[in-house]
Amino acid sequence: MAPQRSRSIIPFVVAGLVVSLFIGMFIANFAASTPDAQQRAVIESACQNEPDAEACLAEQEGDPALGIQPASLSDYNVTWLSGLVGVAATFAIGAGLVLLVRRNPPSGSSDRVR
Amino acid sequence: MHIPDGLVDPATAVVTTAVGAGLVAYALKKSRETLDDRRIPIVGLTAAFVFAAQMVTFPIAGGTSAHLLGGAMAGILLGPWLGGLAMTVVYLVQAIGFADGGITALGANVIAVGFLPAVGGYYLFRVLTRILSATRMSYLGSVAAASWATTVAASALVATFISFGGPLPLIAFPIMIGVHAVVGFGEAVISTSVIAAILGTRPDLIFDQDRLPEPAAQSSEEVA
Repeated sequence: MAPQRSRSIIPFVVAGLVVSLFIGMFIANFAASTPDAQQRAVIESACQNEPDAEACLAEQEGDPALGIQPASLSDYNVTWLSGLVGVAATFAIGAGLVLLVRRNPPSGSSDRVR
Repeated sequence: MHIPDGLVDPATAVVTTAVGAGLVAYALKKSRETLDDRRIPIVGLTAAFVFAAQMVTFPIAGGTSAHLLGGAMAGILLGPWLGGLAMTVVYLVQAIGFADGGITALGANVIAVGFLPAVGGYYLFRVLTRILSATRMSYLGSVAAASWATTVAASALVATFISFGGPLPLIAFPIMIGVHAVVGFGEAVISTSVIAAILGTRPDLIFDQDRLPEPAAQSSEEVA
């Protein structure tokens, strides 16, 4: 295991994107659909003083006013397309943002260009 | 854990948006000083991975689910400010493209679940790796501890925003922290696995080269 300094990062990036796409497009379809931890906290705190806590919980879980999707949807409707578009968009915007920063180095910068 | 629209009042939204924008501006300025070309695709990749991982909600006890936050992991991999920027990109795409986390809450999300875990996680990791011995075990233990602690801290700040600066009663506070003390273990397991995988394959891509555990540090010195 002796990584070389000048080794290309392309295999790493490609492998990482494949893993991300696999997670976002495939694994995400098996995501739990119950409210997430913050939504749970919101629901529980909203029902704290209700006489019928069970009914309140059931009702709140589908309350769009609290930003809580019905129980069948978690954060948003997960499809393979959301995974593909989201992964592509975050990669492009993330890399693009720092590329813009890189293109305008401060004066007197000694940044090395590989 | 995202704050949706309607859970922060207008004053909170304005203040958090301003502070969030300030953090992004500062992070861009700081990143410029340390950025080398190899980092560019890695920042995009980190954002993409965190986005994908946040789609995967896994069930925990009591009809609740959780997903990776990824902030501490991003901070340790990319450094605190590039890490915070990568998280910001994730929340921007989620809020605009997927209606996940509100636009008015974007600033609050960028602060609480973006920069807080990325910057806080990074510095906690620095402190822990300084105190502990330079072994692989304590390195990964520091990643795990930073991941858990930032998840809990982020939940406390989110609870602050939505109860003091939003419509929720204060009871949300202990519930949020309690639930996330459990969620933090999942966060620690996933983040540590990812960092361990990178440590095993490309340790040269991790931000802090002076903190690598001994065998990895030696091999990167050889070729430096």
